[in-house]
Amino acid sequence: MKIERMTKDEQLSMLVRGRWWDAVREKFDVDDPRDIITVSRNDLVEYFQKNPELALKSFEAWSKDRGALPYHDIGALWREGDDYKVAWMDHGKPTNLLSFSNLDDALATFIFYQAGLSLK
Amino acid sequence: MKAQDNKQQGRIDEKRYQEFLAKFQVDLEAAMSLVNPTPANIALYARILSRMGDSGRALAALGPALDHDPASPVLRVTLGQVHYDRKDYPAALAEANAVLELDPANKEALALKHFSEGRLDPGAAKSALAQGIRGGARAEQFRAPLTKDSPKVQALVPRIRAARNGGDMRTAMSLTQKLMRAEPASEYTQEIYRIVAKDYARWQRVQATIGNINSAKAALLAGRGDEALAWANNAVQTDPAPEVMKFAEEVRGIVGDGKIRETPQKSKPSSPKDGGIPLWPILPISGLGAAAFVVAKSRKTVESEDGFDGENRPVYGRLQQFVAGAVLAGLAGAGIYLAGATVIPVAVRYLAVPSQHAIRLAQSEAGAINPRSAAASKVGAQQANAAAQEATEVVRQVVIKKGEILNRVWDSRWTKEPPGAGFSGPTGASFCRGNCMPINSGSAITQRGLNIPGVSNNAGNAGTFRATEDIVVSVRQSIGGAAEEIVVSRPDISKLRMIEQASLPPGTAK
Repeated sequence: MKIERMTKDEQLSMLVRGRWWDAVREKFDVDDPRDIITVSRNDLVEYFQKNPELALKSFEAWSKDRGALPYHDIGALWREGDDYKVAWMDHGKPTNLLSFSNLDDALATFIFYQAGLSLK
Repeated sequence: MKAQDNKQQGRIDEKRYQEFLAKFQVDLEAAMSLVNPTPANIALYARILSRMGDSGRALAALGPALDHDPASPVLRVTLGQVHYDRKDYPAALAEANAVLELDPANKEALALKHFSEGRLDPGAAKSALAQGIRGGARAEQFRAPLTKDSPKVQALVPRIRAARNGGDMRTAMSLTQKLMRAEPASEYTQEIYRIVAKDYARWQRVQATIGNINSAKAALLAGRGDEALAWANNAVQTDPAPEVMKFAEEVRGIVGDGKIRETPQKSKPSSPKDGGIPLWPILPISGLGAAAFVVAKSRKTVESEDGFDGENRPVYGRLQQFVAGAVLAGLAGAGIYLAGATVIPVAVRYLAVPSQHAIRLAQSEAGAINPRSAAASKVGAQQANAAAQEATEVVRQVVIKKGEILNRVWDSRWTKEPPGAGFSGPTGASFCRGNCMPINSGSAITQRGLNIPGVSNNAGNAGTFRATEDIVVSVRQSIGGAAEEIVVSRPDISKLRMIEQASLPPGTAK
């Protein structure tokens, strides 16, 4: 059972902004910053549903040129037709590819992928 | 249709084969987790791993046990047997002789000595070290430990010598660092460190050259001529040996003005002719998995029936039964092979000592275990390159056991740049197995292939992760690098917990 050391909204906002790993590590003096994350992927989906503009901005930030360049060992998020794709890139090839019909699900999954958090 | 054809011909695809193998490994680990870690049990476990072709894990399993009991005959003989499996017959013989000094009648050591001597040719008895690292030059040696040396030194130095003689330089260097930490002021340990570190640097260069050559071959196969040429030139820069320069010349000849004139054809390793894997041998493997499972499940029942209370002897007995099952299953696999399969029945590799003859017989056919040599003898050099490339992309699947350590490096800029910049971070998929924290970022970049197009990783940060549960992972030769790479599937990344993070100093691999 994880102890909640940040509020749910603080965690969600932090995950969406990105660049939180080292800051959390220093602030809470934890070995693995993921230890302080208590929110779930569904919480993040709801968060985006409540903040549609943030979802669009986040997609713009995170999906930049993904899928077109030979990225390696990072998450990728892109739009393909009516679907949103989330994958982990391995020398330019998408692996663990997932497809979503709505942006909120895709974004939340991508952010959890990127953070190395369980999708459950 | 193809899958159906394969099935009718008694074949399964590589993926299914790897799944069976992974299942067997999980069963083996489950069986092992139920027994006491006595020297006999650890030796047997290492022996099974080694016969499965995973001598690295076999050595890793033996290491701590030898630390605890360096003179244990069963551990020393097993260490020798692992060396034998690695075809390092001088090292195997050395271990056999060491045991025989203490116990001249030790049957296992006598057998190991006999077989090792039978494999040694006085004119060609160069160790892997002499052939692969020192280029035939006489290896610089250090003396054996004396009784006046501390127990730690007496335990570590023979293992360093064994690893170094076996060409396992990563282990040799790791043990030497351990030795230095134990006795940093000793002139003896400093001398060992100096010699091993020099060898290690040479070994790294050899590995980097191999990585460059493999990458050049891969680029050729993919039709990327310029990239192939760049890799070939890198190989020459890393090691301007005549054979490397000849390789680069050949690449230049194929590529010409940056356009590939001659595109090698890809082989089809899944076809029966070129090294596909038949279904039959998997049956014994499944049998082995089932045997492990039965051993694990029935242990308590058997013990209570026998009136034992869980002490070493009956548990060892269960493991012996496990191996007996393996022998029978392996013999079945060999029989099937001899009946007409065209490629190696992988199950033969599970055979215990009594079936050595069957193994040799199997290995002598059709290029045997190594798919590269099998392809080379059958489909010509170009297709061999293709087969080799496929083999290096995903070599095998293994189980990372709960509690095991992995290491990862990532780009120090990853939190400073905008989210979409694409720098590799701490939660990526690529790892090095064990406590393999690199000495500097240059070393990590060279070893792990981080300086190739599309990879944004300056290796400025590194982290040690511990598995919180058993995970099945893929192992491959890192693309563009020399080290073996562990690739963890995305859903399993959350099962790795970081226990240490560090900044790596800049530096080169030399």
